[in-house]
Amino acid sequence: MKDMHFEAEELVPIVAELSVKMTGYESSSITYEKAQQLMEAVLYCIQELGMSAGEGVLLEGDISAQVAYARGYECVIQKIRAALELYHSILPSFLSFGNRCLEETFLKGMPAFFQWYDPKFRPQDTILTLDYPVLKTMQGLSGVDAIYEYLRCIRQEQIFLNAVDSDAVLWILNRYSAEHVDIIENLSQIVFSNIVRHLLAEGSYTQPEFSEQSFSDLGQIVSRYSKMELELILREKAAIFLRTCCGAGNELTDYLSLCISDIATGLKLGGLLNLRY
Amino acid sequence: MDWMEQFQLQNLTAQIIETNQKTERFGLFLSKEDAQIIVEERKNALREERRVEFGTGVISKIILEFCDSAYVNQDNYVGSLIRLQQIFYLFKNEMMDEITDDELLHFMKEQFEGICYGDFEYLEGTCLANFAKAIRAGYQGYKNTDGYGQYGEFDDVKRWDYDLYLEALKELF
Repeated sequence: MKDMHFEAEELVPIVAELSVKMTGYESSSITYEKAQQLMEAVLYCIQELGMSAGEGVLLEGDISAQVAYARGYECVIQKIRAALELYHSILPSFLSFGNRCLEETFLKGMPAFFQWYDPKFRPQDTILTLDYPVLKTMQGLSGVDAIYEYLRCIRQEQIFLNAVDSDAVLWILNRYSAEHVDIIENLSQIVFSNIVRHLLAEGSYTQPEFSEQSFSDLGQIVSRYSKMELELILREKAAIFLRTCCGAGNELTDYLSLCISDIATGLKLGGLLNLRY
Repeated sequence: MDWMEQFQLQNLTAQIIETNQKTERFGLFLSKEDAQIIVEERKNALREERRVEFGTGVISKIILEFCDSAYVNQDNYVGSLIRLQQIFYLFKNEMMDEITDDELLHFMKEQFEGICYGDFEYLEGTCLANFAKAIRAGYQGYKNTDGYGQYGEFDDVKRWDYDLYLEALKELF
């Protein structure tokens, strides 16, 4: 990321121009809050340019704040288009298994974002609360950046959920919670957790249900290794499984690996008592 | 907020003095010192109302709107402009920026002349307060009239009634 630092004096004229446009040329003053909002809008666009530099966006020499803002604004517009494309690519094969939180966030929330997002005066506004939790944190991201990253996470989850047998997914979710349609938890993590436990116990995954023998084997393996060792084993087995069974590239493997630490912790601390799924 | 305060420091003195060309025929004139006082008070008023002004600001418009007022003369000119400036920024906030500069100025001038008879307290405390309340409640009638002829909708005081006057006159004589 290229450092795009400008002094306040350079940014103020851009804010002034935006405030004139925002008031439709009919008001000579705005509140402090509005001025702050517009300054954040300018900084957001400039930051977007800085993030894009190195991703095919050429920045030659020193550029003025005005130019940086204009080009950054274009980057924001391009990102909106990319996010919308990504959303449309996920939609046809979208699976929620009845989970209301996921449906609300993706099927209702996302269209509202694209309808109301204001790249000119409020590009920093994420609008949505993104209630359905993904495995990657959105901390530090806002506006279309947050939405784009969030959609990338949802895409990986959907690739995974589409690759696993639907009946198996439903069995796992029902075992996890009878009210799984109402939970506000990550569905992929629940399903992935079941799979990696099988990989650990049996070396392969064929069905979601554990036999008594598998259960016993799992307990012995968990007690044999430290949490860190378990993590390493789980990562290795998960990577092989995802590659062979889901045709997964690095992106899906990296994404689902984000929950392996929690799974290992759960196995070590909770033991098998909580292994209801 | 430092960058906002710096932004306010624009040299408006020359622009204010330029208005003398139009106000002189009404017997109103601002010296350089007067203009500097007005600019300083503008800064204070904007800070108090937590507003940022850009471009040429509104003071020139206030001057041109009120220069033909029956209640503004050379003796009270600077004080009146300072007061009007304060009232303007206050009510831009009170009306939540729903109203344009021109609409507000037209309303202020009309009430100042016709209802308030030059009384700033009445302008601020009654006319504008009532109007602001209506706008906050969703009233938008002023958009069709550019701010003119609005107060009748909100005036809660029975004003001059010609028919009533004639009747009283008949009873007397």
